[in-house]
Amino acid sequence: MEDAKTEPSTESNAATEESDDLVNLKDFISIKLVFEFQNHTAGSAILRDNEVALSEIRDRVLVFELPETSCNVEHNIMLRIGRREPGKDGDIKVIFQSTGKITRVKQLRDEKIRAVVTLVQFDEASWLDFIGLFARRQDEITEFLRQVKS
Amino acid sequence: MSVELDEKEAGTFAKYLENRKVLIADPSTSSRSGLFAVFRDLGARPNLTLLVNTFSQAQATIISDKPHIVVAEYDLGKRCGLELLQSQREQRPEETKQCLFVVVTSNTSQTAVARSAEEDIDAYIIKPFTPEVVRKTLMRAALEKIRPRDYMLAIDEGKLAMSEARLDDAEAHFMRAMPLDPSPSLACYYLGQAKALREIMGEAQGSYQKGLGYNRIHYKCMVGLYDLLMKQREHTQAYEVVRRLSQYFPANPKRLAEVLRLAIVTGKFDDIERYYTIFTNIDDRDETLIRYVCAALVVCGKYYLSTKVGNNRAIELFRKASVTAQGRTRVLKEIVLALLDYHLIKEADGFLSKFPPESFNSDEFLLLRFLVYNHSGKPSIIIDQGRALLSRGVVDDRLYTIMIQRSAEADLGAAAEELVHSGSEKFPEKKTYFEEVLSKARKG
Repeated sequence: MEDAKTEPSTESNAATEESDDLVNLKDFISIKLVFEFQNHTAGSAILRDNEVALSEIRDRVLVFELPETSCNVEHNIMLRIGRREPGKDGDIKVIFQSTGKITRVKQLRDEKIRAVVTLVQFDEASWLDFIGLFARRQDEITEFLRQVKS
Repeated sequence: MSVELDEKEAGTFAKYLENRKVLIADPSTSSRSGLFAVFRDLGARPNLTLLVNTFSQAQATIISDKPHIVVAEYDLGKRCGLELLQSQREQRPEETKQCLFVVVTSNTSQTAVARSAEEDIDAYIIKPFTPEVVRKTLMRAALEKIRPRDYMLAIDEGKLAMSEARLDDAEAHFMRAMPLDPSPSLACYYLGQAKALREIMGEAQGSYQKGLGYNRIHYKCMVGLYDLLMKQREHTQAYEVVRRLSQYFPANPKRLAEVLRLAIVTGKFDDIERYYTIFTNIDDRDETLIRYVCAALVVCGKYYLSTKVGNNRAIELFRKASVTAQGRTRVLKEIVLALLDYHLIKEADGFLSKFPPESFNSDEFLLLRFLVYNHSGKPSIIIDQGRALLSRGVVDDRLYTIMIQRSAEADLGAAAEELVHSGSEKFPEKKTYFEEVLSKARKG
């Protein structure tokens, strides 16, 4: 993953800009995140994309779905989150990284766990950019639906 | 989200949730668990909250348990969670206003959002979500249904009157709704519908356009205007509307087909070529989209051949269509036949070579090979190949035409007459034509 700052950008201009193109490529693009999840306490191998799913964002807390043996409560972890850049041959920019502590683990089905990670050391601006990425898109979507229905 | 929801509203929502069944359909166990917690905190009863992880389970649960609220992931295995909406409406047809359908998904693309908007879902929440966003979005969507604004009430009364053919009443309700919202596009749409029912098309069109004046992306107004223009056979205007519709609501295969068809009808061939360029950059191409694009490219290429804009440009479009078709023989067949119609034999032969090896023994391929070979092969081999096709049971008027002509030229008179006879049985409308072919071939 290549380190870089997130650029504030909207995912789609469909609701806000008049475009002459019949179909806009970017309309088909979804935000794609990639992960590196390293458990320092257990010293286990780095978990990557297909093993890590981010399901919730809370105040300085992230909730992941992980393999059941990957971590336990009180474990210290290192987390890197990248974004796959659309249309650039799969280039990945790191948009957020942090150390963290596992504060809660819940056993799920299919040999998975739901792990609550409290973030410890991270760059505040990157965090705001990261949560802003989803908050902005959510606002755009909500506004689009409102306009379509009004 | 800017709407602050007070405790009273939270209480109203909790009361609404109290006896409602909730279905959460999501392949991610963690997401299901997170959503379950949010619903429980909002007042849903855990024993009335059902969790499933596949489309088929969700479908079965909707039929067996008839949930009032369905929360579905957009990408539900190989199926789209949106498909569950229709099932929910079918199960609770009388209570649509009391039901909610919410998409919760990691698919943030505008295509997914717009497709969901077209289906008239109640909310779209992206993952990873924050519990607060889920809470606020759900509450807002539910409150709009259980405590509708005066504007929506007036429209609902108008809709009811319209369904009972009380068009004067309906129009009065829609007019009453107009000042109740700063952007009353929906009222304009229904007023347009009432005018269209009265067949006052000019006023219907004006009402849709007025609605689009308030809100240029109003889906219902655009669709209403498009349908009206198509009914009036105003293809050029209809094309502009459906083109705009496709910009805001992309990747609806049915509509793309309409766009491409109207682009052809209105002679906007450049649009098709430009659309193809963008299409090549889309990763997520479904079968329908591929089929429509191929068909449009082939039709566009045929048009270029017919107008002699330049065979090279037509062949380039055929080449693109054949690449896009990825061995779909129907597309290749159309191309080969189009090229043969314009006596571009070498080019037709070139496209014949693009057929996949597994099709080499098919009737379709052998017939096309025969049609191409007829232009450049030895007569005796052409006749042998034709006989082989006929004995395989291939029924095609072009095959009979060639075999009648070739047999007569080779002094196989009895065989030629038999072919006219059998061909006329298969294609009675071609009897005179086959006889003329025979007569002409005999005269040399």
